[in-house]
This record gives sequence, C-alpha cells and structure tokens, in this order.
Amino acid sequence: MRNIIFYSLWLIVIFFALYLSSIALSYFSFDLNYGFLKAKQHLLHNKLWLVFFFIHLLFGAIATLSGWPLFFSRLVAFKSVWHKRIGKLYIYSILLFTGPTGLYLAFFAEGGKWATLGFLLMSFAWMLPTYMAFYTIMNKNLRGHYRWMIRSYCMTLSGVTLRLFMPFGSRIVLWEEETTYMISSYVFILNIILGEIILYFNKDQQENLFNLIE
Amino acid sequence: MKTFNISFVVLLLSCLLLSFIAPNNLSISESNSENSVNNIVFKNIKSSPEADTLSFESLNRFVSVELTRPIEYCFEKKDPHMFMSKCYSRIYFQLMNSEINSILYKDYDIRGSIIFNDCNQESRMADIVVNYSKKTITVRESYRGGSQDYKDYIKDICSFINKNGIPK
Repeated sequence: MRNIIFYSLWLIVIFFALYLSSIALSYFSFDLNYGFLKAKQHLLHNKLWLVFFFIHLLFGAIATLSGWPLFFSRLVAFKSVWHKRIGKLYIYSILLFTGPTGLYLAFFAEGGKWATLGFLLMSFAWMLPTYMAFYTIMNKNLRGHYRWMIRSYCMTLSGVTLRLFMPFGSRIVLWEEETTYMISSYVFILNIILGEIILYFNKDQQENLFNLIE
Repeated sequence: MKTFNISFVVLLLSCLLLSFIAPNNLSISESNSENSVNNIVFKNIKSSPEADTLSFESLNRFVSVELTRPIEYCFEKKDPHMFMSKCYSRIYFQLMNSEINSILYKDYDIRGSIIFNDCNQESRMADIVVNYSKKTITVRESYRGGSQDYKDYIKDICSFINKNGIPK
C-alpha cells in the first residue's frame, strides 16, 4: 500500500515536471509575441534580459527533467557514473545558469517591488539547498546530500506551484491581477514546507536506503 | 571547490549588478499600468443609495456571471494553459468612455465592451448593452453583424472556438 502511494505521488511529480518543461521549451520557437513574452514587449529591446530569459528557460527545463531520475536507484544507480553526470548537469544548471539568471529576471517581474523581493528570495531558496547538496556530496556526506537534494528538487518544482496558484488566485479567490502576481512570487514557501514534510515522514525509508548504499 | 565557490559568488554578484543597467521594478513607479488607471476611474463612478441607481461592482458582477465567465470557460476548455501560465489571460467588462463618469441606472441601457486580455495584450471582443432591471445583455460583435442576445452569443462563440481554436 505504502509503495502504491509512494509511486503514485512520484507519477504526479513526473507529470508536472514534464508539464513545466514543456511550457519552458515551447518558447524556443523564438516567437517574441508568444505567451509570457506578450506581457514583456517593453523589455524586448533589452537584449540582456532576452538572453537571460532564454537561458533561464532552457536550464530550468534541464534541471526539472534531470532532477527526478536521480532519486530512483533502479533507474540511475546511486553510485554510478551516470548518477554523477546527471547530478552535475542538475546542479550546474541551477547554480550556474537558472539561479543567477533568476536573480536578474526577478528585478523585471510582473507584480512590482514585492514580487521582485519574492522572486529574489525564491532564487536564493532554490540555490541554497542545491549548493548544499553539492557541498555535502563533495565531502562524501551521503545522508546530507540526499536530504538537501530533496529540498532542492522541491524548490525546482516551485514553478509548478506558481502555475497551479495562478488560476487559484485569479479564478477562485478572485484577487486583482497585481495581487495574484505579487502573492504568487511567495508560493515557493509551500515547496519549502513540502520538502520538510517529506523529510519528516520519510525517515525510516531514508535509513533503509542509506543502509543499502553504505 | 574553492574555484567553483569564487566563480559562483562572482556570477551572482554580476547578475545582481547587471539588473541595474536597465530600469527595473525598483526604479519604475508602479502605478502607471493601464489596469490601475481603470481601477481609479471605476472607483470614481458615482453611485447613490437610491434604489434606481447601480454601482459598477453590481453591474460588473452581473456581466461577469452571465457573460464573461461562460465565455472564459469555453476558452479554458480549449486551451487551459492560457489561464494557468505565469501571465494568464482574462475576459472582462469595461464601460464605454461616455459612461465612466456618469451615474448608472438600473432601468437604463448601459453601454460597454468585453475585453480579452491575453497576457496584457488587449483586444475588444464585442460591444454590449446591459439593462440591469430587465436582466438582458445585447451583444454586437462587429458593425457588419447585427445584435444578438448574450445567450446566443455565448453559444456561437463557444462553437466557433471549439471548431477553430482561440484566435491569436
């Protein structure tokens, strides 16, 4: 029963990871009048913004797609070369590309100054656990690495939470557009809480896992 | 690890500093968007407690429940992503300019438009005439076509969208 719930939840996560990545990759038709870019016509003359936007999307999609297989030893064995390769791809995508560009893009976010603050915090809250996951594995601390990776991937999925929140704010609660944008920049807090809940309720399984690895 | 740390910090600082080259959210006044202007205008609409007058909120609620929401549902069915993206689309009612600063009466015809805002790009879908007392909305999509009842209009536009998709 527990396994069924575990794999069902993972299937939902994988579905949303694919969904989020497909949204990001759909911008690579380079149509500057598509989707979110319609609202950013006043920024299109800023080539730096445009370049950072596409870097953010590309490496965001790479991080989202490369993150989840790393949790399944049967798919990519934990101590295998492929785990290291895909893991590096995930960590470098966030720390060197998506995270820093996210900091830049936060200053131009919809929703004004409070949204900027929200997205800056979101970027740091994403990069910190990812950096810690990198730091712990470099110091051969497997338990720490696993725990920080769970936190990091929960933050990677904050893009999903953001998109699920939009119809909630605009359709169900009927907030003003600006309010919805502003509050949506803080929904990553739910992902942080989710990460901690997973870590709290997953202690036994983690112990079994580490006993197997070690 | 040390090289990585230094590069990482330099990269973060560069991105933060680069964001100040162009005007950003911290340097632009926030109250210049079209929507906030509309809100100020709508809040100035005079309404009196007398029974024959009508507030914009009541009128908007009526139009929203009867007309714009059902149209939005058709759009959502066809393309859910439009309403879930970071920059979602909306359909809303806007008073005609001449009505904006006047008192709204329940018994009189009130003119306006329904606007499709697709990620901040606005386009007028149709002109409407609302009579709050009679609970009627007459829709005129284009000057070439005639006016029609809102229920017929919803049916027409929904079947059009189902067949042809959402016009871009």
